[in-house]
Amino acid sequence: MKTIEELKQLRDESLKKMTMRYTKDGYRVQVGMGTCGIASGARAILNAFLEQVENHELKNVTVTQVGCMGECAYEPMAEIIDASGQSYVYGCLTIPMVRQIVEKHMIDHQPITKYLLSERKDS
Amino acid sequence: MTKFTDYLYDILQNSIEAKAEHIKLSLKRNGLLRVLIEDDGIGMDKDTLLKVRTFSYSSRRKRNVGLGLSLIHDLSTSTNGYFNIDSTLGVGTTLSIGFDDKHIDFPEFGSLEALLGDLYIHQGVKNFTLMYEDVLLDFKALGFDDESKTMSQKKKLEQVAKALLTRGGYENN
Repeated sequence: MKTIEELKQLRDESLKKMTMRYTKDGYRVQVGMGTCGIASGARAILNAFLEQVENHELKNVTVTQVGCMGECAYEPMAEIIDASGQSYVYGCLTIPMVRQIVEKHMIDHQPITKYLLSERKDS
Repeated sequence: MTKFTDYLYDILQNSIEAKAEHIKLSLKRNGLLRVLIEDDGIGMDKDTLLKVRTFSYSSRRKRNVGLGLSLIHDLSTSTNGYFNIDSTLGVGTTLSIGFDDKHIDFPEFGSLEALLGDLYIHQGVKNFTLMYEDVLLDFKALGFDDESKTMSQKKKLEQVAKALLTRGGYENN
């Protein structure tokens, strides 16, 4: 039999795990991790997204790696897709930009247009 | 690429994409820096094996340029090393590459513990084993399974890895 404290700890751990999983609602962050992305520093960008999502305890965000996104000159890049299927592609990312994107786009739901490469809606 | 660990991360992503359950990376200095990568992924046929060293081959349908393997192949040859790849469909792939890490064209090595941390947090990595000289590091054996991947677990793994690797003679410069 587990104590209440142990159960609470288990719940908190499970909730934290959820950030790495696919969630249907909420945001999906796809970081371009092809050869071009890695060469431009995408590993640090992926870590920054994961860190920010965990720090802000965002439960409805999935962060994943994808291959080359086709615009190698703008790497490191990340695509953010919201629950409605609207996609926003951010290019030439830096760690401070990731912090702003998480706070403004994913928490306040205000995409940062000056960092955007493109946006499209999947029908 | 500015760091050698970036090359390794890029190549190891191929194993992840080949749906490998277990990836082994071995690094040994014996005259040359010898890298051995073994996976139990889907493997490649003989025709593909011949083409992977060149820029003009990719398994993707969208584009026909493939940089990963060809870049590391060129790095090995330009640093007077060697490049061998062997693969069997349904069994897995073995990559054996050598580099002269004192060569002027060899990049900065990068952080091995950060590489391990980044591989651990990759959602496609099930189990990973690193053999650095005589130090053996296995994610599952160290208690880092693929069920509870969090950034705090990643940082813990990096600390454990650094301590073990330093004991085995590894210096992060």
